[in-house]
Amino acid sequence: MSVSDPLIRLLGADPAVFHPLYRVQRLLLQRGVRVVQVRARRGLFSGASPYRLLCFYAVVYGVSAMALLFTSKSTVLGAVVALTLGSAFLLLVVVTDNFDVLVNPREALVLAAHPHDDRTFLLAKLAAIGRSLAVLAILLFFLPGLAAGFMLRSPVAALAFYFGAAAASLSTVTFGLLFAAFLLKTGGRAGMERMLPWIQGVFQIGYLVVVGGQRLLGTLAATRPAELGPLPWALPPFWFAAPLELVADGPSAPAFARLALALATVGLLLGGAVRWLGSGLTERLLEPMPRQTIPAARRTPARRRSLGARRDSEWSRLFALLRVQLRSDWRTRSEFLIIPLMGAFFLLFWFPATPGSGKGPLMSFFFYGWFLVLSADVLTRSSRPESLWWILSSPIDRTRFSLASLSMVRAFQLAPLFVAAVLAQIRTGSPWPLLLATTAELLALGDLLVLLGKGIFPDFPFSRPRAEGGASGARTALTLVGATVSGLFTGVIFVCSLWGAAGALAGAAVFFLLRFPAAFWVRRRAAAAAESLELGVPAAA
Amino acid sequence: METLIELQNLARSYGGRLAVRGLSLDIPAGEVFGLLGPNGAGKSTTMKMLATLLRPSGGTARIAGHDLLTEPNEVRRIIGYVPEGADLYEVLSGEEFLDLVRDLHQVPADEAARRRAPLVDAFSLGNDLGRAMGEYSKGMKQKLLLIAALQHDPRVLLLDEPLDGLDVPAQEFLKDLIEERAAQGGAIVYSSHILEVVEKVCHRVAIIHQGSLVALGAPREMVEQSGEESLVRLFLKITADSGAWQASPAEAPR
Repeated sequence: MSVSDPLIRLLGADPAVFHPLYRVQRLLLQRGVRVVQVRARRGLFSGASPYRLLCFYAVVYGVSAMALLFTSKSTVLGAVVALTLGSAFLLLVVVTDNFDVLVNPREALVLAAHPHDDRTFLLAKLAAIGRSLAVLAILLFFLPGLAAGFMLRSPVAALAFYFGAAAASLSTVTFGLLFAAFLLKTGGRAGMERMLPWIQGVFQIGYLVVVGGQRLLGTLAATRPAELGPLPWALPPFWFAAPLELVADGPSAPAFARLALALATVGLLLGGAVRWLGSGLTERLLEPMPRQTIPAARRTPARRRSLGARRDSEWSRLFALLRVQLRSDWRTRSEFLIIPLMGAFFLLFWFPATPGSGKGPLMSFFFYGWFLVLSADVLTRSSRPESLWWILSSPIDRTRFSLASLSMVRAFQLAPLFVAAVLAQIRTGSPWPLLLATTAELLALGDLLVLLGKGIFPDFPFSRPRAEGGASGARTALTLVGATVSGLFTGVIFVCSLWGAAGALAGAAVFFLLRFPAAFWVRRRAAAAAESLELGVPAAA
Repeated sequence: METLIELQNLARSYGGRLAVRGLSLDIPAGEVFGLLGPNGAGKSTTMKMLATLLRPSGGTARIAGHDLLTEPNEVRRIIGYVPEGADLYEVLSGEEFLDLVRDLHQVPADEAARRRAPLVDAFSLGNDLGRAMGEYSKGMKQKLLLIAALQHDPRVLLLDEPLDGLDVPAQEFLKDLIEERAAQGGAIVYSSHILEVVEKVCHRVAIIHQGSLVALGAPREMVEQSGEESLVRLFLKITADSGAWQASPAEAPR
């Protein structure tokens, strides 16, 4: 008999079923958090569960938000920024991790034949998800709340911030879960399975744009409220900062209106959630997914299916494999998209080239290079590496197959980053000789870094299990090697830039010449990794 | 003899396609009942309906007097189900999974441990229960599913390709265990493609083809009546000739 049993019964659930399910769902959440990829086996984070690392990141967020509150001109606007970043963090966790725990199609065969009822099962999941998110929300908002209280010299201000943060967290989480319920209701589990990877991929990219927009948010924190204009105050983060605003600036009709909007949002979302729990969820969570038949129109024509075999090209076979990965694995899809999108974002908006300088800030080149080095690694990991058996058992040249990933990276990752880098240069208004020389320098540098990336991450395409791929300390070390290489070449660019267009051309020549020994080295590394590969045994990096 | 499983015109459709068409069967206590059929015949769908994973589209089914639709939890307490190709929670250890199942069945921990120990020994899983299930081989997963299905001492066992991935000692242990549980008054529904094993283990078999029951009876009697030399030959004849059997199911060997 647990102290929570009366409450569980009050909610219409069976405590005897609730407790074991809750225990397991908690374990699944703690051990299966996918937002966090890096889990070192040695060193500082050894033994830490992915959830603990997520908690660590939440604390880092909290410290950053606290610093922002200390340095912002307006505590209220600082609080708005803290609430925005914290809520985005929570929503990311809900969408990328908690959706899968809430509706897990694989549970049917494992659990459905054992005593349970859907309501208890769902409540156990929600309780486990709610607990993990509550801990994260506390870690995110505790320190900023202290900062708000300190800045306004008022414990009431801290409490007001916590009230707003609780309302924002509740709204964010409920919105995320209701969104999952909406998907479930409209498309069923099969529909959700089809749509979720797209939503998660798009959301992850959107999240990074929000975080990448810290500069914008930092600008907001450095602004006085009077300079903002009326429009931003209508945005939701301002609603949830209204309790603090009332303490900081005293009662006002607009602040009360914003508070009312915040409370109405919480009420509406919670009302929707209660209604869903009460009657809206009609689908049995543990029923297996219905069998799907592919509509004739969606079937791949035989002519296209045999394209790779007829052309007998490792490139086209790898391209076919990439298409399968992009279609079936949302993590591959989002990581594959993130590199060009985030890279372009950094180049165009985060470190924009200074007009008249003839050169972008060096950090933009550093990120250009680093993203390109890392881009080779994206194509090495897969959720289902064991499905490679049909590639490994077919008569292909493994080394050529592995090296074909270079063409993929050039086409899909180098090309958009290069275009963004050139656009950033054009925005500087440099004279055209310098522009052309810099463009050549960027292209030679980009291709060299793609090659070096493959040398640093020589694994066979899609051969490493995703969980393990993110886990090794060796991978972290190699990522640092990539950063070092990129930093080194950024230094070369800086030195060359001292001599204008001639210097840039010399830089391009250096990078072009370095390409030949690099290609030789990469071929040897990739060949060794490809030949030594056995299924289930990750190749040594 | 008490009838433990009763199916009356049981049907299930996926979209517009009928996967199981009006299946009627009685399985008494003490019987090992084989469910045979080619791929896509409807065996696993029938098993999933009996295990309460799928709701029947039509007909009724009762296990130990409990209706599958109206009393699913009563049914779940009575059955032990070993699915084909289950995707276990990869981040849980084998022991955590078994504890979950134990608690869902509300079996006291000491009693579950007493029942679990000989099974763990017989399947040689003792050293692996603490490992994450994601690291298990196919055979180890199958052994774990068998232990999970048995530790609450169910009266009815639903085994869908239970020998899949098992090593030889485990296969022999399982065959003995099936006979033992039948002798103790349980009912076992055994679905498999390995007809030689089914012929030895099962008291009666049903051959399902395209969702319909096309033959039912004791394996040896069916073979003798049909004039075929083995159950495999009979199975091939029936499933190749399914149109005739379906047209007049009364003529099917019983």
